[in-house]
Amino acid sequence: MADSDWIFSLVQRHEMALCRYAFSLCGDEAMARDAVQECFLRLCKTKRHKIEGHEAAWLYRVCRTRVIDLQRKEKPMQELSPALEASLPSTEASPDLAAQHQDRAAKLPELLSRLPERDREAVTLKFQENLSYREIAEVLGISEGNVGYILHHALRKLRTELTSLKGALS
Amino acid sequence: MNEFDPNDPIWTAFLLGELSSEKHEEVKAFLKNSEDAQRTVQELEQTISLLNHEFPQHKLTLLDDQRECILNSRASKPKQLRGLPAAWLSLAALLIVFLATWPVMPWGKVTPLPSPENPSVQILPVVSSQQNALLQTGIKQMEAGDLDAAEQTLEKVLTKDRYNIHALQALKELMEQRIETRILEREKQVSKMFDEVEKRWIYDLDTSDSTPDFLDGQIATGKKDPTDVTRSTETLPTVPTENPDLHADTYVIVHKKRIGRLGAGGGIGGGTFPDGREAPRRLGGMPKQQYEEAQPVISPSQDDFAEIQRNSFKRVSDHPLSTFSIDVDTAAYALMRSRLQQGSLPPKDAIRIEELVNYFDYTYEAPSDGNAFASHMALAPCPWEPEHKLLRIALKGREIPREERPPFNLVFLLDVSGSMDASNKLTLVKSSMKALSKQLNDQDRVAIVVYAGAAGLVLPSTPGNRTAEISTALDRLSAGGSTAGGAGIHLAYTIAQKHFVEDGVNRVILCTDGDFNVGTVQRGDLVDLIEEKAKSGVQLSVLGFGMGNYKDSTLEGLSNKGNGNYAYIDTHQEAHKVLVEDMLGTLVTIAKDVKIQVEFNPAQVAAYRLIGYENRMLKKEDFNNDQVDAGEIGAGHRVTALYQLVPPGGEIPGEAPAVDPLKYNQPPAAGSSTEILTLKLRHKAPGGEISQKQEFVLQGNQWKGNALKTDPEFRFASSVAAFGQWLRDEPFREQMSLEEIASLAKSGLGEDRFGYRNEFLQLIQSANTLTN
Repeated sequence: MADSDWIFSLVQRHEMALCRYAFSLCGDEAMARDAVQECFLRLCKTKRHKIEGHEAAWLYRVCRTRVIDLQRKEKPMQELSPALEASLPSTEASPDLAAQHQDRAAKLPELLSRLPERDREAVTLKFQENLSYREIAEVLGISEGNVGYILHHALRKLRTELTSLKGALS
Repeated sequence: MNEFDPNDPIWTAFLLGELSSEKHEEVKAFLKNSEDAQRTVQELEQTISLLNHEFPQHKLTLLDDQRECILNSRASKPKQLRGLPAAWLSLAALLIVFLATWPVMPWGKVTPLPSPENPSVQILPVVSSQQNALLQTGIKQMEAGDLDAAEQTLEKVLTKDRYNIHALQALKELMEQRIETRILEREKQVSKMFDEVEKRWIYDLDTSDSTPDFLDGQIATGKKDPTDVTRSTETLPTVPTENPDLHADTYVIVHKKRIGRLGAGGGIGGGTFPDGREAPRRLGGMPKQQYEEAQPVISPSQDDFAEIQRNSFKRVSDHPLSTFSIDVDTAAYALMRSRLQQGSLPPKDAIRIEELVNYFDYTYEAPSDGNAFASHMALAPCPWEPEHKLLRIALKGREIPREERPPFNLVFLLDVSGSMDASNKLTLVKSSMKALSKQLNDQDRVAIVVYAGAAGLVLPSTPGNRTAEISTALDRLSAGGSTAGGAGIHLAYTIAQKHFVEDGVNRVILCTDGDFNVGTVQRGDLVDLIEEKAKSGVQLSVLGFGMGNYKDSTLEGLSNKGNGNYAYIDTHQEAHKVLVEDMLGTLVTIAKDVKIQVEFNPAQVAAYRLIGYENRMLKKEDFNNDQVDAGEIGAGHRVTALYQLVPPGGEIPGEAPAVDPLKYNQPPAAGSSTEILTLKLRHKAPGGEISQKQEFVLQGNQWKGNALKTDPEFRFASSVAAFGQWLRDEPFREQMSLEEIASLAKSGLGEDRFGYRNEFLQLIQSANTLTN
């Protein structure tokens, strides 16, 4: 297919997902949109053959770096203390979900937000965006093994928190 | 795999299908045999399932503009060359293609370079959603009235995107709002302050004994009635002094003459009277210390102060020429009337005697021979000084029958600021203009521009016979907002220019209550504009509505520069007089820059004193100098000037000693002529720049005559002049009493078709009541 069509189809396929992903990283709709826009614009400037085969991973990676850049522009660099890590972008974007106190699933956003940043990213890429270990590794710039490790432990942690919650509720 | 380790990532990898098929089978087999593993895997499965189903999915898409930008970008993406790895071949091919297709292909176009501000330069501007969001926030803040926050937000947008047009426009609006609010506040404060000071000082000083004693330092020593002291120990209201008009020695407003300048020494007043007496140092009725402590009070403009230096007697031998510009403005009369009717004596500096005298419609004969003017001179013994003579010079302008008047192109420039709401000023303006517009026909045009806040066009230039439209536009006017005169006047002139009528009357008529605030525009610029426009044929007349006298010198000045006239309208009757009865005189100029120069014969006259016209005096050189501006005269208007003459040998009151006779320049032999004086007149045609001169001689045989006996108009005019002097100069009151003035006026009442002369009699009565 022609280059322009290729780009068009990528936009169609990934626009929403990327926006969603970017939003999960920064919690700011406007910033998310701008990051995604820049991401696609960069796509237009990149040689197709370099990306073909792993477009998704590429897009997510570029998007991620864009978001980080924009966040840096907004605020000067801060030391990521554990406390700060935990307080990073909340999921206040889903107030509708947050309203459902009794629903265990509704607690999920909060739990997710309490995860360390790296863990949360990996989990998001896996369960929101359905990327493979290899793709996630590419996006985050780490090894596949690392990805597996992070995900496994994140799941276990989530499980623990969920069960303790369940215990409290029942 | 031997032991089960729950921490092994392999379990998750297994569940997520990340293992090779070989490994996968291995794990599956292991699971069968390990209950622990099964449990762990089950738990993991649940978590995974939960995450798969319940992961918060925030729906978000790009803005349409953003998508558009991307898709347009890809459309102009330069073609990429594929294949042919050989560098040489590609280069060669490129070169050929380049050269062959330079004008047509995209690479012939200039691609902008990336810059720090715009890392991803595209052919179309990137649409930033963040900027957009910020902009929206800024606009919302502005609408909510939080101007400070809005300003910050908009500035943020502009920091990132310097030329963001929406932010720039919003910021501009914001600034305008800010300025408006401030101007309005200032107006309110100044207005409030005027009111307060007026209440406390003007009437106090006017109705109490306003002899000079009151203004001596005696108050400070407490010799006066203690209640006086109490009243006067209140400090003057103060106004924040960030005003650039404010100087170190600022004026105290309104009664500058009375209270004087607040100088460095803390004391005020001083100076000398024209007859050489020294004026006492006046403390304005307040103890000196208190006065020093009072902060400087704002003066709207130093120009508003128009002190009148009384004309003194001049020796003919030293000053044979008396030169002045005519004045047909009538504002001072209306102001004086208004004050007297409200129950107080008018401020002395508001009394321009020539305007009082000229208020009335004297029946002088019109010129018959096609000249612009006819002159009528008369002599009589001076009613208030029997040793002296009273000379009346009258000029009557050419009449124009109403049917033959030129077409009008008028633009009314109305002040509709908040201050116009008071005392029905705006209502009066409306009715005045309606009255005028009823006189107009389809050859005329009228437009209405308002200024308050922003200047606005209320009625575009409309033919004069569309009375209903004009009326409706007038009715829609309401007061509010602050005054921003500069923009309004530009708009008014533009419209007048646009509908310019050749050989017609093109005029901007400014209707204001005096606070013609032009904001930061320098007064000088405004005056220049008015002058320039007058030269190009668009004149400016000013109608003052319901204001005190403290602005009227400014307005009079403006109308002079604009070659128009200045009237003060305080009642519907006055509006009717100025705009209906006297419409032609008010609007149609028949002569411009009219100057008078009288040469007295020293053998016949020892000294003279021109009554009134103090602010119209010209230098003798100015008479022949066409560059010097002077007054205008309208159709059918008349001008009256009065001189008090000292016969030869008579004593000249208050005059400085005579100038030494010249050594090198012998004065021409006087005494050979019996003529008393020669009256010279210069004027220009309304559109012209070169003046013509007319001369009239007063023969010696008139000297013994008593025109007062035969001329009722002369009697009435002199009574008005006497009244003006009575109001203004206290010493005059010993020369002539109000009763005498009244009886002189009565003897000149004549027909008094509109009752103005009888009204004058009533004013004399009011003055009488107020001073007894």
